[in-house]
Amino acid sequence: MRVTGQTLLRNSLRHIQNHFQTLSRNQEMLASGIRVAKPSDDPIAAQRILRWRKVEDGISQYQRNIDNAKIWMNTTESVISSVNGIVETIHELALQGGNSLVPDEVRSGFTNEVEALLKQVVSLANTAVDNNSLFAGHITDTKPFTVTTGAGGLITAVTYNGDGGQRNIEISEGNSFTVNSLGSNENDLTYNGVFRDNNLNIDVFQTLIDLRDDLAAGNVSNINDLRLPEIEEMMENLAVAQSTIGLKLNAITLSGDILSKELIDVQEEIANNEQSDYAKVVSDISYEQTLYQAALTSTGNLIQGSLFDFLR
Amino acid sequence: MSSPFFGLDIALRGLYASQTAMNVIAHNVSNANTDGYSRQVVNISATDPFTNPSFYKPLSTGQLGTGAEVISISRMRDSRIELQIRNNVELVNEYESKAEVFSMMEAIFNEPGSVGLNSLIDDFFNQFNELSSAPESSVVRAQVRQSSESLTDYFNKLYGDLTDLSEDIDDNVRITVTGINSLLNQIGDVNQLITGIIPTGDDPNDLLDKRDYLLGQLSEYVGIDVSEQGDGAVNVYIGGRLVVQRDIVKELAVVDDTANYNYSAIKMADDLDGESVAVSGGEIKGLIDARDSSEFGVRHYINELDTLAYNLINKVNAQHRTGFGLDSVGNRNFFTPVSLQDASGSISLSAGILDPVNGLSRIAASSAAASVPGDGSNALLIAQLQNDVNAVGDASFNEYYVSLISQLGVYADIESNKVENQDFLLNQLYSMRDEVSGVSLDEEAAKLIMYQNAYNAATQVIQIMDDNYKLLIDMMS
Repeated sequence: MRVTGQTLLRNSLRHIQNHFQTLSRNQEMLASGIRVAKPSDDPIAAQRILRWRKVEDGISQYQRNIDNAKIWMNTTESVISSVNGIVETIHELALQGGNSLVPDEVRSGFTNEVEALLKQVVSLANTAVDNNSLFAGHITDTKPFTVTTGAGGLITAVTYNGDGGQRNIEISEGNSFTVNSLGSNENDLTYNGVFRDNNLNIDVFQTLIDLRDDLAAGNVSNINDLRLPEIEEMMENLAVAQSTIGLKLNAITLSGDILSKELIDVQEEIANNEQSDYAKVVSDISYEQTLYQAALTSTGNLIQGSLFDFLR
Repeated sequence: MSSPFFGLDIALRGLYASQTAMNVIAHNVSNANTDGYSRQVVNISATDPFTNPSFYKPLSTGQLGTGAEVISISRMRDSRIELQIRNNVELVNEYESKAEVFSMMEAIFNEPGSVGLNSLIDDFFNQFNELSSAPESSVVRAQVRQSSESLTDYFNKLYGDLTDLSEDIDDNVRITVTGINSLLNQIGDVNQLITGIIPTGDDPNDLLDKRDYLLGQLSEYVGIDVSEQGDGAVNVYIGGRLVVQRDIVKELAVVDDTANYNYSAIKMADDLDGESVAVSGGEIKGLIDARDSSEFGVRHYINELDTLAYNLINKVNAQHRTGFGLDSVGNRNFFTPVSLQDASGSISLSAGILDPVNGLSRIAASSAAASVPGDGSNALLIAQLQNDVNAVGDASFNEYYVSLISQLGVYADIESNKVENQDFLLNQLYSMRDEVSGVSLDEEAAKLIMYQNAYNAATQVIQIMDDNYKLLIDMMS
């Protein structure tokens, strides 16, 4: 093989160029920490990264949904537990009012207290989060319960303005979760109502109105035969509603924990595909650097001389 | 019997021959690094001996040699390697221009970074998901509109960038055609000069080199076929069309092709309405393929984006129309309906949604007019379109896009590998050419010493002959 100066130079330059390219690519990976900067760096990994990113974004969204749901459900739970406390007080009042030994003037003295407690229950049933009523179904922009007042400003009836709407959120792909509890199921009997349940013949407001009137009228038998059983049933219903929400809160918290773990796995998967392996990159760089230096030195020495240097 | 001065003649011929040889070496050394130069060699041969056999030949011992002369100066060239080099140059340049376009497209799509279309699609659907959990919130509604606008803006940007790229490519096609025409004319000129010299019996070595060099340059631009003619001229064909015939040049021209997005089509300048010239390699072939190909061209990616945008518009609109805004009005479009052609360039939110006063409340989160505002089920249905595996053909929106990107990655990868391989092969061929045609300075130096010695020797011979004559003349005086 006849080798000329140009052959030597071209080959050397090509190799030097190759080393330099590899070196600069590795340097880039080291500096950016990213192995797949463009799809052609590793088409398969790029595809995986994009797929996992979608999963990552989805999980973050489900987590936000769960956080929103928790605020809603925690408020609902505390409202129901407050109502429960009130109903317990009312139960005691009813027990005393039902005792025939209690004088009539004491009994009628309870009416104001019951009326005040009734107002409290109505106000609790109208609780809103961010101006959205908790117990109104889908009609969250209105107060679910409005009162009609009669002579002396006493409440004579409580009307439900909500509907039977279920507030569903997605907590994982395709899985919905109902967040809200209905104040009343009068518009849709497939669900339970917290304050008024037509399936179970429970109506917190009506019972309290009746109790108040019975106390005022001294109707002891009504209190004992009708109101007390009603109050006990309503206490049980509220307890069930409260524990249901507690269980759902547990479930949704657990879902959130699972999502957090999933998120870590997914992020690790993305990192595995996308990020540089530092140890490998660093050792590649020092290897390439040695080759590059060697090529430079030998080329520099080789292209210097020719036979002309020796002509005198 | 030869003349007494005959020896002087012989030595003089040797002197001349060595001198010419040294001049050729000087020419070689001067051109050691000239692109396309082939080293030249002198062919020195013994001159006809004295005397030729004949009936009247003198009565002396024969034959007596008469010295040396340069019979030709020829260039060292292997036309088979030249042809292979040209073919490879065509391929390298074709692959290179394609690879360049691919890497530009990769830069345009900017994936798998965290700000590409993929994450904007996620964002878009996620905001609807958020809306389903808080359908009353005007803040979330504003986020829905914001993320939707980001998405449509990015679609528009991708469309604009890709269209610009295809127009840049088209400009390059025009520029390349101008370059091709200039080279064709130069080749025609050199052809004319060469055909003028060959009949004189001389070798137009440097002109031949120049023509080879021009042909080499031409093959960077476009694939050519070259056929040598008996008189030293070459005919050049591009896509089977005769473009250079001796000194007659037929130029190429570009015309806007109305059937192909007004991109440039390549025609013969003297036949603008005729068939397009089917180019077969070189930069121009790479450019045209990268521009037009329905498999991997820029056009292909624009069309795919259009399909994606078009289906997104229609699916989201269809679902959105079944829902109701906060004003309990339904049957509204979310995006402005557009046609498939250039959908990614024209995608935008509908005027109703963009309305600064009432736009946000028109986003249809609820499934029934009566269940406004707390019902987010329609927003959820829109969000769930993201997981519809038949959203675009038989893929979800994300999957469709992801496979588009990974396909781009595969093509870019393959093409740059092709460039690398072909480059390696070309380098081998260059080495093979150097083996034959390259100037080796060591070799030239050695030859120079050799001819210098021969030259010195010839002068010595002349001096001795001279002494002899002196002696003879002195004796006679």
